[in-house]
Amino acid sequence: MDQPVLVEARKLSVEFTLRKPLLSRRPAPVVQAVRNMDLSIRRGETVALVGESGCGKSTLGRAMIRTAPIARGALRFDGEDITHLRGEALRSARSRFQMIFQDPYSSLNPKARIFDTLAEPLHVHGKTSRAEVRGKVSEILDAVGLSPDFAARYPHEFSGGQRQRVAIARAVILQPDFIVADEPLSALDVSMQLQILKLFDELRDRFSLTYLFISHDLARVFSFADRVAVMYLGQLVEIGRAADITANARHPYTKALLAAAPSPDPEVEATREVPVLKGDIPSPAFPPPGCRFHTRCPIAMEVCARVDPAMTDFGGGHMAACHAVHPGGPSPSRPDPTEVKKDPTA
Amino acid sequence: MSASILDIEDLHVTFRQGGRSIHAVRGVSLRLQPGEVVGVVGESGSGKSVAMMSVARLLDEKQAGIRADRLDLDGQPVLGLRKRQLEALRGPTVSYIFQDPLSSLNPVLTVGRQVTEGLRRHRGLDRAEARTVAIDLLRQVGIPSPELRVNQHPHEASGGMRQRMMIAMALALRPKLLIADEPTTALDVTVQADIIRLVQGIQREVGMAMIWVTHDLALLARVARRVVVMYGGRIVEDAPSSVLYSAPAHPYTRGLLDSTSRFDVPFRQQTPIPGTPPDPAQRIEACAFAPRCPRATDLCRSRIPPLEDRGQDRRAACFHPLTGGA
Ligand SMILES: Nc1ncnc2c1ncn2[C@@H]1O[C@H](COP(=O)(O)OP(=O)(O)OP(=O)(O)O)[C@@H](O)[C@H]1O
Ligand SMILES: Nc1ncnc2c1ncn2[C@@H]1O[C@H](COP(=O)(O)OP(=O)(O)O)[C@@H](O)[C@H]1O
Ligand code: SF4
Ligand code: SF4
Ligand SMILES: [Mg+2]
Ligand SMILES: [Mg+2]
Repeated sequence: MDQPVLVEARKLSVEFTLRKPLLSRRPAPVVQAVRNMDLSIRRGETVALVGESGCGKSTLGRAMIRTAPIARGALRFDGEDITHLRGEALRSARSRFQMIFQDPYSSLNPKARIFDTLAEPLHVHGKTSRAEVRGKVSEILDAVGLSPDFAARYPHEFSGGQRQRVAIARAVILQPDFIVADEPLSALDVSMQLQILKLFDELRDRFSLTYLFISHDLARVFSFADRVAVMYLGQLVEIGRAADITANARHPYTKALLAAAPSPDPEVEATREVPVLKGDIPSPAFPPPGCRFHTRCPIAMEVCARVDPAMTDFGGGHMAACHAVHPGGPSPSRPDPTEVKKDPTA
Repeated sequence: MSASILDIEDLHVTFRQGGRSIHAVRGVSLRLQPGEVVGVVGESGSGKSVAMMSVARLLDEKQAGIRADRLDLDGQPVLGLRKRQLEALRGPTVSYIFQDPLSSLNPVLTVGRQVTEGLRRHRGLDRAEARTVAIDLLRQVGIPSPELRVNQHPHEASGGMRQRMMIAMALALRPKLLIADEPTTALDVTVQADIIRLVQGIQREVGMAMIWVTHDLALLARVARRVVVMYGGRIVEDAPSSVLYSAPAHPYTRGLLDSTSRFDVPFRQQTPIPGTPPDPAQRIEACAFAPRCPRATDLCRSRIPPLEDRGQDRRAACFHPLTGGA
C-alpha cells in the first residue's frame, strides 16, 4: 500500500446559497454541503463513502472532480494543485476523472445508439479514425460484459443492470485515473447490485482505476473497499480501513449504520436488538450546534450540544470525531472552516 | 384451520402494450391465514407488485387483464366487484403502502385531511374528531409535533416523514391485511430500521395479516415468518423462514441469498446470479430460470417445473432442488 496519493482534499468546503424565503429580511440561508473535509486517496485505492441522504456525499464526489464549486480549502490531483484550474487546463484534467451516477435511466441519452454514446468521449478527446473508434467501442463493451451487437441498440431496450454497464463502459473508455461512482447500485435489485459490483472489481484491476465509491449501504461495499469514510451532515465522522470500521467502529453513527443493516439469517435477526436512531436526519441548512449528530445520538452528553468534536486518531489511519471515544474526556473542538485560508498549502 | 384472509388460485395478469402481451403474472396460487406475516421476494419485473396490486384491484384494468380461478379477500371474491364495493373493502379489509409515498399522497391536501379521509368516509367522523384521530395516528408513527404536521402539505416533509404519513393512512382503519410494497427501499438504512420496527410493532399489536414485498431477502429475515419467492411471474419457492434461509430448495433462492449485502462473507467470496431476468413479453414453456441456473438440464429446458409440496410446509418449483426432496 505504498502507492502515491492520487487525489487529495484538504479542508475542503462546498457551500450552496439557498433561495431566500419570500418577504424575509434575513440573508438567504447557506448550506455547507461539505465542511472542512480532509480526504486523500492513493492510486489504485478504493474508498467507500457512506452516509445518509443529503449528508453531502455526492457534493464531495463532485467537488473532487471539480464539478462542484469549492468555497474553501484545496484539491490536489496527481501532485498538482487543481483547486483553481480553469479553461483548457481544467478540461484536459477532467479527461482523467469520470463520474458514474445512480440512475442509469437518466444518465444515458435515450435518443443515441449505444455506439454513439460510447464513441462521443473518444471524439471529444481526439480519437477520430473510424476503425480505431469501432475497435475501442467493441473492446469496452466486451470489458463490461455486453455483446458487441448491443452497439446498434438504444438505452430503452436494456434493463437497469445493462444500462448501468453501458454507463460504466462510457466512464472507462478514456481510461481515466479516478472514478467517482455515485450510488451506482442503489437503483438496482440486490442480485444486479452484486453483478455490477463484481464488474467494478474486475475493471479496477484491468484498468488500474482509483475509486471513490459512494453508497448508503455499508454492508454492500465495506469489503469491496480498502477504506471506508463515514459522513454525517457535511462532515467526516469516521474513517479507517474497511476491516477496522466494521470490527471496531468508534463513532455511534457508524455503529448505528452497522447495526441497521439486516443480516440474511432469521435466527440472528430474531434475537438481535437493533438500536434505532431517534427521528430523521436534520436539514443540512440548519445543522444542530455542537456535535451535529447529538439530536439523534443514543449516548449524547451535555458537552455534545456545545462542542463539535475534532477527529481523534486511533492509529493505522483510523479516526473518529466523538467526545465519548476521545481518551481522557471530551475532545477539543473542530476547527471552524471559515477561519481556514482559501489555500492552506500556500 | 380458520378461513383464509387471502386466497389466490392460479392468478394470471397480462398487460396489452403496443400490440404485445406482457405476461406479468403467470399462475400464482397463495393462501394467507389471518394474522400471518409473509414476505414476497424477487427481482425487479418478477411480478410481485402486479400480483399484489391485483389483490386490492389497484391496477388500471383498461390495460391489465386479470384472471384467476379464485381471488378472495376475507372470504369475498374481489374480481367482479364494482367501484363502490371495492371502496368499502379498501381500508377496513385491505390497505396498500407503496414504495414512493409522493406519488400516492395528494400534493394539495393537508396531511391531516389525507390521513383521516378513510375515517371520515367509513366511520363518519366529523372534522374535529378526525383531526384528533389524525394527530394521534401521526404520533403513533413517530412524527414529531403532530399538531403542527397535520396542517402541512406532503412536500414539506422529508422522505422518511412522508413514508410515515403513508403508513398512518394505511393503518387508520386497522385493515385485516396490510400490503407493504418496498416501503423502505427509498429510505436510508437507519430510517428504514426505524420504520420497519414501527410497522412490525403495530402489526403485532393489531394482529393483522401482512405482506412485505421486496427484492431483498435480508430485510425479510427481520420481519417475515414465511417467504414466497417469485421469478418470471410465478412462485418458485414458498417456505417458512426457518428452513428457507438455512436450506433453500430452489437454485434461484440460493442465488438471491448469496447476493444479499452482508458483513459475514468477504466480497471476493460472494457469487452473483449470472445473466438477466426473463423477458415478460416472451411465452415460456420451460423453467424460466434455466438460462441462469447452474443445475439446469434438458428436462428443465423442455417443461415448466410444477410448484409441489416438499415437506416442512415448503413448496418449490424445480426439477433438481437443492434440498427438500426431489
Ligand atoms: N446545487 C445545489 N443547490 C443547493 N443545495 C444543494 C445543491 N446540491 C446539493 N445541495 C444540498 O447540499 C446537501 C448535500 O447534498 P448531496 O447531494 O451532496 O447529498 P448526498 O449525501 O449525496 O445525498 P443522497 O444520498 O440523497 O444522494 C443537501 O442538503 C442538498 O440539498
Ligand atoms: N401498466 C403496465 N403496463 C405494461 N406492463 C406492465 C405494467 N405494470 C407492470 N408491467 C410489467 O409487468 C411485469 C411485472 O411487474 P411488477 O409486478 O411491477 O414487478 P415487480 O414488482 O416484481 O418488480 C414487468 O415486466 C412490468 O414491466
Ligand atoms: S460527540 Fe456526543 S453526540 Fe456526538 S457522536 Fe459522540 S457522544 Fe454522540
Ligand atoms: S428446474 Fe432446472 S433450471 Fe429450473 S431451477 Fe430447477 S434445476 Fe434450475
Ligand atoms: Mg447523492
Ligand atoms: Mg414492484
